[in-house]
Amino acid sequence: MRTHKMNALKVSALALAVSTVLTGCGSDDDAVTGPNLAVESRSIESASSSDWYVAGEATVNNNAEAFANIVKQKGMAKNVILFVGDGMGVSTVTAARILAGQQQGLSGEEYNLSFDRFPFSGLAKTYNVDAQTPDSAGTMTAMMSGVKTDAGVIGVDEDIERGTCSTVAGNELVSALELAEIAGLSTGVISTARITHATPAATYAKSAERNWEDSSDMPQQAIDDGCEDIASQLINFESNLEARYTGLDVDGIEVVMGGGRRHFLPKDEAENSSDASSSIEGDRTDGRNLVTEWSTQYGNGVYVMDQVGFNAINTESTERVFGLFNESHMQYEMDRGNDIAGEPSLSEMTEKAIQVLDNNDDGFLLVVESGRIDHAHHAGNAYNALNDTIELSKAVQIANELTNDDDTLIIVTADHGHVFTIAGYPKRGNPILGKVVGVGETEESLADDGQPYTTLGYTNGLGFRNLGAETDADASYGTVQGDDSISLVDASQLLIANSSYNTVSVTGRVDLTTVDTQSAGFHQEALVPLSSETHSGEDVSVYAQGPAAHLVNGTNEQNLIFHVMDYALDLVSKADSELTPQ
Amino acid sequence: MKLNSTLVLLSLLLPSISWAGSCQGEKNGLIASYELDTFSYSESTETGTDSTTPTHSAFFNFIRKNNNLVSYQYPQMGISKSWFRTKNQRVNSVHYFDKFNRAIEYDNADLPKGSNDNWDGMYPMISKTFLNTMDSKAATDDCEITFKHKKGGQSWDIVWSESLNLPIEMTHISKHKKTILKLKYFKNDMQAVVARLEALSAYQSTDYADIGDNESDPFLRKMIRLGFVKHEASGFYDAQGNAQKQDGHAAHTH
Repeated sequence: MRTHKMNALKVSALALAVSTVLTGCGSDDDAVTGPNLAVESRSIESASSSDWYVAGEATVNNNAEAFANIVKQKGMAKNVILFVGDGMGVSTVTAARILAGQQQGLSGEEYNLSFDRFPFSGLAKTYNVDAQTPDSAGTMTAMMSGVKTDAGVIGVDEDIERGTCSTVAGNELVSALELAEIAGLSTGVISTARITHATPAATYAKSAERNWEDSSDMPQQAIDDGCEDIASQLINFESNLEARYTGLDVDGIEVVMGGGRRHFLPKDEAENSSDASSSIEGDRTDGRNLVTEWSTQYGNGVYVMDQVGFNAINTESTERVFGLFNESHMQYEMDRGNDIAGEPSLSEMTEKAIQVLDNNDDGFLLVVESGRIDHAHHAGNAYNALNDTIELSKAVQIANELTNDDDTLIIVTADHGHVFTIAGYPKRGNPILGKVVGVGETEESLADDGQPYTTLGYTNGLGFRNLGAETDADASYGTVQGDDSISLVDASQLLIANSSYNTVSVTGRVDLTTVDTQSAGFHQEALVPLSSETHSGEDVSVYAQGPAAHLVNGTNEQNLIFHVMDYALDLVSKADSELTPQ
Repeated sequence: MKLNSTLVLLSLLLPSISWAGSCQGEKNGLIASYELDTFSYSESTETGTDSTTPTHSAFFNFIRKNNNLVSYQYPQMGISKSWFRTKNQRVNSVHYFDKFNRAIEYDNADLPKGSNDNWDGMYPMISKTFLNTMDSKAATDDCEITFKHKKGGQSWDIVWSESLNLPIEMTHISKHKKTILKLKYFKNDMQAVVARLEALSAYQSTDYADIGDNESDPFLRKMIRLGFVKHEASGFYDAQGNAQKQDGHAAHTH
């Protein structure tokens, strides 16, 4: 039915076009009688009964109203929430939207994720100063500090030499989170990745190397030269910031939640938590227990490491929260039930964070990262990438419900995309994770090689894997093309070792006839064989709602996002006034 | 590396194994050294092998710290693989590369489906579940059990130590290959086990989930070049993912 109505609109548009052409011919008769005007009128009348027409017209009216009502003046926002879907390129948003709709029994294409409904959007150019296809460290630094920089570095400008500690001094940037702290706002950082991973780290740390997540990751030279690992910078955020400005007194980050406990604990089995997934959970070789240090520093703070502890947080009486829910990255949303001690979802963390942060009448700045969309894509697994994107949409929805459009700017974007494609000519409502079935067809479409193919695919990466019901995208990395004696369960380990490899890229075409491509463990085909699927270099979408959201439009450099947040909160001016002697 | 060398040396000095004592022997803090020989196999010959010289010979060390941590070490390749069972019975793994002092950590997330079930096989090397399905089972003195089994053109002959919870010897025959596994040496030494595992844990490690963000890492690139990640050539695979040759026959996958 929808297709029919769409055709009706096309017919009317064609009639309008014909009318125009005829008029353009200069026929006197036409000019006198004006028959084409009648045709035009009928066409518009016909079109106006179309759902598409009505919806489009309503959207324009709504948008016009939204633009008229938007708070456009500088510094009028009380709160800013920045959501970053790591690796959530345009094709990921589109596919996730369709999957979300199909999960609700709809065709899917017409569905909207929560941020699809935001009134303003634009595009961001993601390249790093030194890289056409970017990484998260450089892109998030641009978004948080307003300055594009090199790939692989955190919170420092392009004059840095990656991996060289001595080049950090003098090249540090000031992040929006730091400005918010100085300005007296409450601040929070949430991620489903390790909280020391590149994207969240760019909110609070300065590092010549994104991988310097704890002391054991750093070369001795860097330690000797005085560089501080990223986890330590998080714990010492307050004192480090105060040390940079004479007389400054801030109260530190109020909410920190994510994974990465290993970087905060000493390498000592006795310090393992009940959630340990390794024999020795901590990685730190300097003997420090940063969780203990944080607890000592913030006596009024609450440290949590599992779902039970998280649920027990009283958001009205709790001033400060530090949550480390996994030794490394948190689980994919669809794999969360397999966590050892249990962990909250991204939407649960977002809700809790806002409820703690909004206790400050002066407002807050919250950064939320869905960190594992990127990991699922790297593994070539659309299932988890899309389901984590849907969970991000849920988190945005909750943020929207808990805040006021008049005083809270919400921005949703990605740091970069992935080489992830939606292809073929599947009919409307065809399962987005399924094989292509053409318009009007009931049988799967076949490629020139006589084999069916999926709508979703990757330009590069490990390629086809069929791990059945496996919900963890990373499982593909360990897949082994075993020997015929694989049934000897761990004699198989010998064969694995002796075969000299443990992962085989399966690029090229695969006969998918009997494969359930919608299962959690299916990994899409890839063209170019690589050990891991890669980021892409195209633009990413930026969605915005709230004060100053109208500034998110057109195609801009990614560092514009910082400046929109600054405009909304008037951060720099407020911070300056705090630093200027009265 | 030092410990592995010691084990190799000791394995040459110890001609035979005596299985004295109770079946309730200490199974933790255990180091065992195995020899693994592979022969081409043909039913037409009396011995079943074309030659008494193995086509491939390897040795490896098996280390068991406790019920939840075992490690397989392959000194010839400079690789070790440790397996850890978490509280919720999931299995994680770390692969160590001696030459580079580097490691890759595989969360359960990173492992093939079924890895959790395989702890039954990783802990004693051969799954007890699998042993229990075998055609015949005969207990001998000194806590040894002999298993024999034939299925799908394959056969297994296994001598099992209940004391160690490990195989003493195994002969496995498949289509054209005969594999013989022999325990050459073992000792209970928790201190040595801990020392070896601590030495490995000092390697710089990378989460496998993070490889995609670290492809500029020379170590990871080298692993790919060395075949740790290998690319197939034919580009054609059947529904199970087995590589096919251009003529449509399944190709050997490694």
